[in-house]
Amino acid sequence: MSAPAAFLLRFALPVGIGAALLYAATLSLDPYSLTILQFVGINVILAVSLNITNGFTGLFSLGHPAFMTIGGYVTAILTMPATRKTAMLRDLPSILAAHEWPFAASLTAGGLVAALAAVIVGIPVLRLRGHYLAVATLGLIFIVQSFAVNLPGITRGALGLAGLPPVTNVWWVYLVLVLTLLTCWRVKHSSLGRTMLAIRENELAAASLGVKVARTRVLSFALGAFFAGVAGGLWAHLVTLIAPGSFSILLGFQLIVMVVLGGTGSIAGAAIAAVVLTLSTEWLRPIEEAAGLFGASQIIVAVGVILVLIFRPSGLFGTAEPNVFGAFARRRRHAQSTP
Amino acid sequence: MQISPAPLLKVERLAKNFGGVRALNGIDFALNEGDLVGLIGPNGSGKTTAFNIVTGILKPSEGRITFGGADVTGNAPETNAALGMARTFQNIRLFNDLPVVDNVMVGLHRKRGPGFLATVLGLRAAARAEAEIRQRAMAVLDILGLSGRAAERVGGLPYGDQRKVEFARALASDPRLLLLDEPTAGMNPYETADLGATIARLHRELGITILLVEHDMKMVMGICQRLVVINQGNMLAQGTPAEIRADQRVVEAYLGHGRKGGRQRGPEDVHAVG
Ligand SMILES: Nc1ncnc2c1ncn2[C@@H]1O[C@H](COP(=O)(O)OP(=O)(O)OP(=O)(O)O)[C@@H](O)[C@H]1O
Ligand SMILES: [Mg+2]
Repeated sequence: MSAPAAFLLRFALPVGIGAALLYAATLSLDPYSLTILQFVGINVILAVSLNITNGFTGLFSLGHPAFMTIGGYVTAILTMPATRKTAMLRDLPSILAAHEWPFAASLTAGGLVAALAAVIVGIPVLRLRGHYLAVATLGLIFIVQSFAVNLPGITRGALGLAGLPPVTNVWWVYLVLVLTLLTCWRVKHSSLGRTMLAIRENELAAASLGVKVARTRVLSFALGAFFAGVAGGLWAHLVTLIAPGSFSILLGFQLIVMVVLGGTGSIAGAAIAAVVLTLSTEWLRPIEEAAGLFGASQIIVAVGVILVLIFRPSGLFGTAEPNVFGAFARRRRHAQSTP
Repeated sequence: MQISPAPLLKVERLAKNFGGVRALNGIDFALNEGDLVGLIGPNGSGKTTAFNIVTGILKPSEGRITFGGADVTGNAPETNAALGMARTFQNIRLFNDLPVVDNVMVGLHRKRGPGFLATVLGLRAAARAEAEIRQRAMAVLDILGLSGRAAERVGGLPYGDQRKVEFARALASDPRLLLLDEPTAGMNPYETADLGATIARLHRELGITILLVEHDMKMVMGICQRLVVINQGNMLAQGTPAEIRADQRVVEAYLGHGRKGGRQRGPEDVHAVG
């Protein structure tokens, strides 16, 4: 297959079809369903990006809510109209207060600040042993929340930032989603991604082969944090509110469940698990309210997780990609190995 | 053969305590560029510990290691790998979930792998580097007769083949020093002889410097130019295979340990090599 043809088939065609479907959705769906569609997209971004850290590299990060909070606040502060900023956020440095940033630049900045936070936490923690990361990221969630509460001149404290411009829409969400999937796919099927998987499989052997274990771990942690930060910005401008408690530890666990269910290391697996879990929680909610069984959906999800862990301990897909996707990777690899 | 003024690897007064256990008690040996040296000794004599210290997995309690003229004592394994050390593990350490060829490819990332940005942006250079890495890995698998199994999940391979993948993985990075820790453990006599011949051939043709830990005396004595014998953490003897075979202390050390280890070779094996 020639390179342009391969590009058409593997990238342009699915994206084109996806865009057409999205367009049809914006025309036909009611606002509630459109909102759900965006939450589905955001959750896929979150699960797929957490999968870089937890699935590829085998770390156990609970930190996505912290990075979403960071990204959400940064994006919200940057997009806010300059007049509101100067009135409401008195401690904001004047360079930031004077300008209203475009949404794309604000999202990117949110992601970058989240990634920077990951690097700062990751360097000391990941240099030692991977498994301290769970505790460190748990702590990070509370640290970030307390910063948000205790810097009222920048964040308006416990009140949070309300009335944000509602700039998030399906197009932004699914654009970020495509970029996330593309990045993850490329990383996984690259030499770099292979070193991540190697660290997960056998850290000592990887180090003995010259893989820079600590640096690679920090990179994968920061890459996951970047997308979590961007997703936090999308979320904040979808619900038009960001508060210290917007993203809780519970959300962190739900994302872990998606990665575990989908298969640690499988991009498609994490994405499918995110779609299914988001939709089923949404659809089960009216049912449990009608039946008066609050929390039943959580129990159903928990039982589902336990069943998967018993019968398929490595998740639905393991590290593999389902066949439709795998076929592309295989064909490509074949083409490369027969020069 | 090139005669280098300083040895490639020099180990001086190496000692290691594990709590109260003195696993190594002052070991000295050196390898010149192009040497193929056997490190032998009864079970538990400290061979693997010595490997772990030389490669940086363990820190020594005492002693000094120089590699290529530089002091590498206490270096991290990553650093030593970058300096050109590659090893295999006695208790196999493969990336079980990855295909055979990917296991070998991991070792090529350090030298040839594209950077993060090139990877994420999907640059042509990244794809080219990836293809080169795959090609090199396949070539090395071919040397060990494993190219037919390249796409298989390595965790599902038979034991002997897994050892060969470890060997291929270490070999792929063109190491200056190759440390093999019992590469034939678990192989039948034919496979053992075959791998011994491969090691000798690679040494001869590529001039790689090799330090080999091996219990099969026939194989070690047949291919090594020189042997270092340790016993219970102490230096016992050093010399050519003929000298070692004639050394009374070596024979006694192997006798003294009886035959408790299943694969432990007795002194008759030492003498069996004509
Ligand atoms: N991590 C460790 N902690 C405590 N003791 C250890 C450790 N590693 C090795 N030892 C001890 O050090 C001694 C040397 O072990 P080592 O594995 O280096 O021997 P070996 O020569 O490789 O033996 P074998 O031929 O069985 O592989 C043994 O007595 C062993 O029990
Ligand atoms: Mg050993």
